[in-house]
Amino acid sequence: MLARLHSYAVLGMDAYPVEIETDLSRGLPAFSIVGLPDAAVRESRERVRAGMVNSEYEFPLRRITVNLAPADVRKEGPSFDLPIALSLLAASGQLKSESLEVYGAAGELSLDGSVRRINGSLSIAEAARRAKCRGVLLPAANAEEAALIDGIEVIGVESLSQAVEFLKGEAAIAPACVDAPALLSVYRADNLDLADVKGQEHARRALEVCAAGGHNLLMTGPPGSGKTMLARRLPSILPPLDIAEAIEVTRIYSVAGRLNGGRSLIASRPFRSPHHTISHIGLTGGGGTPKPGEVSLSHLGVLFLDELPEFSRMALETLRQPLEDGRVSISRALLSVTYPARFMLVAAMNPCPCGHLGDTREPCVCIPQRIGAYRSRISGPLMDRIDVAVEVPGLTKKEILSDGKRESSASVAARVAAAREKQSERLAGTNAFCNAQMSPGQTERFCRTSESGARLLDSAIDRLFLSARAHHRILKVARTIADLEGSAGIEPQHIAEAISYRSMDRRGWDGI
Amino acid sequence: MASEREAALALTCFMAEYGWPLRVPAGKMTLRQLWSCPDRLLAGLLKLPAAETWRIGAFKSSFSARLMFEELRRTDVTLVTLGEEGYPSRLTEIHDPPLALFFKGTLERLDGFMRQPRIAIVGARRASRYGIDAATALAGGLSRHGVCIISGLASGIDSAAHRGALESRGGTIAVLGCGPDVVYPVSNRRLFVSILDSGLVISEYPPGTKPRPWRFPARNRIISGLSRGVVVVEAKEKSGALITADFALDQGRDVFAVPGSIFSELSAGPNRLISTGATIVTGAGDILAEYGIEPESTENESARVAPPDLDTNEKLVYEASSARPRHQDELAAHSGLDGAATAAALVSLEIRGLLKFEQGHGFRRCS
Repeated sequence: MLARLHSYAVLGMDAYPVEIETDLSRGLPAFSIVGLPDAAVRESRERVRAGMVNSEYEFPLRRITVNLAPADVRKEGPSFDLPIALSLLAASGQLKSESLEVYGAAGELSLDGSVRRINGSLSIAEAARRAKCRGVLLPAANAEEAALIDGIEVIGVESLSQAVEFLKGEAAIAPACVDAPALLSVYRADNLDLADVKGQEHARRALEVCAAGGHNLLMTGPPGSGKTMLARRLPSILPPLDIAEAIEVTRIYSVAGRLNGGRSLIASRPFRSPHHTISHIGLTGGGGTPKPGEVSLSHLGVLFLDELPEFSRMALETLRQPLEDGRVSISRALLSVTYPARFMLVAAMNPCPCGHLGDTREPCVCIPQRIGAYRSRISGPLMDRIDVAVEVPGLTKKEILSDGKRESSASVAARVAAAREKQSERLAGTNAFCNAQMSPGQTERFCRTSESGARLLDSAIDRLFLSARAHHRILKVARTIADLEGSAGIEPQHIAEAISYRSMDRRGWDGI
Repeated sequence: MASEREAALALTCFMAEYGWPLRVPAGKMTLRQLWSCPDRLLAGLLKLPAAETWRIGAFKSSFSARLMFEELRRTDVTLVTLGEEGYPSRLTEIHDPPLALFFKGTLERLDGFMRQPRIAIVGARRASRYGIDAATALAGGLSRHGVCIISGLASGIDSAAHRGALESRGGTIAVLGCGPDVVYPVSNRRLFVSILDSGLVISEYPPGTKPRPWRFPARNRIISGLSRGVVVVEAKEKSGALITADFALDQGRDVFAVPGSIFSELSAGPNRLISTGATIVTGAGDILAEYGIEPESTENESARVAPPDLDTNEKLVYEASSARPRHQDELAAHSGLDGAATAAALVSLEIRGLLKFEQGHGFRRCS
């Protein structure tokens, strides 16, 4: 007897259809799985056997061959347990149903016959819809996230027997449905507020400018000056995720198996802060079948790298492609996948190895050469992709104890949203959607400045020893500042403020 | 036979190679006569150990004055020897003047500086922020009154002194412990180039000579020798700056010291100098008064009036600034302007060269 069933396997961000063919024939009892299964798939034999027996089905004592087609792509993971068990039941005549043709299935079986959660169910539902299935049986624990995909029935099943009853038509299970807009507002809880940050007017303003234009930010300052605190509050002033963006982010987390705490939707912008010992693989993603790394997990959110010079050279250099293209391609011997990685980079570093250069409370004990060596660990090409660099000074005791009224995230976010609105109007029809992403050509086109502004920029580059590559970045940032102010043209004061965010370029004198 | 100039060059090159503390006997004979003495006699006159006499022969056979002059031309280095016109007369007063000076710059400029009052500012390489600011401010204040600032181009206090002088468009002389074409420390390259623009780089070592520890104490005698007074800003006990101060006392120059915290080991040097009779310095005025130069009406930095052609915001920010670097936020708070207006004013003040940005510290008023 032969039975067929549709299932799906996840590769990168997408899933592709896999047909499960099960054949029972005469011969010594045996159970083999073919079609390039990995260890987890081969072990599924034991789970399927125990799951079926413990659900009080009969395990056929025949020669069983399961083929996973297409047979030339490596299959991995436990998500084929459920479809293999179902097709085995169908092949042995224990499950006779027309529904097998129109429903796909994926899920991991437990030895007692219950169905466990799997990774990438959102992508699987999407693939099932593309394959024009009527519905897909998925673990109940994953049903909600998969239901974010419209146009397909997502049937959440708790156990093998429940799945069989549903397919036989003996029990009805309502398709999972999810009210994404409602979830978006329920899960969007951000209790960090910019009002908590004391002092640091310059850095706060820089944060606002970065949020408004999508610019990457570098903060330099002694320990305890509030760099991390500021960075953590960046998501609170960014425009909130819309539904499409939330689903995009959720999909990455679903593939990575990072949807924790029973949440089926990532509703707020991700904030990732990997430790500086992370490998370059950890940042970009990787593995035999590459999993998303930190750059993808911070897609549409913030990637915060504290102690930037302490990261390995390799890790920092691998950031260049995602910073440039907004995605990261990972190639392995057998396959190559691309994950989205459009994040805002926020980096923080100490001004010198001891951390106290410019600190009013503690003297710096570093010699100039070491300070130079420390700073030069960040390569030019990486610095090229950072538009805004500010110095965050240590706070005085007075500032720490002060209790003045500070602006809240909500009011900053309103300005940021207005500025983003202007940018999307201006950049409509281009592939950029905020000022930071403008190409050199677009910068020339959209960042025209008044004659006095251009004169100011020229003399600043001459007199302040700014590097020539700073030119375009100053213009982009000035454009954002003008957008924040609601000004149509770029005026000299916008250029001037943009110049004040170039602290890393300003090497007036070497040494000290 | 070689001219007096060639003999001086040969002796200098030999001594640069052999090292300190070789001394040429003064006055008894001309350098030409000295250089043409038989090796053994010359070794005796130079107080070279007998076992080292062979070095003279080896050097004489390999040395060529013609090649050396070509090297000077190639590296654009000027030579002036003891006794020639243009050799600084102040240096001839000291116990063991260098036989020859190699310098980058023109004789006219050297002559010009020698007509100005000259003060040396020396101190620790690993100086504190206080020391750096003090040296910059003093050098700036003195420069504005036509004083030429002499120092050793080391990192720390020396660099700060040169910078202070350059920023107020004054003259400055860097005396090196290596060839005048060798930048040491390398981190001072930009400063070195700026000094070549408007100052002088001097050394008693021929071009290409590498920096060696024993060359620095020897060059300190030239720093003090060229100056009327030496200011010690920050120095630990037993430091090069104190060696310079000792030379200054031997040579009859004035010694000034900038007081510091009694808890900082960097202040131990100047504080001890003060207790043993050095003149205490709390501002450029103290030094100027010593030489009868009338200081500007107010030497108090923060009270200095802003240049007249600033707009209102620039004036507010300028008045909030001081010789001590201040972060942008601090300047905004003091001037009462918002962040954007402060940034705009800072950029234009910086472009005019009135303020200077120091990485990690903020904006400092240029003296």
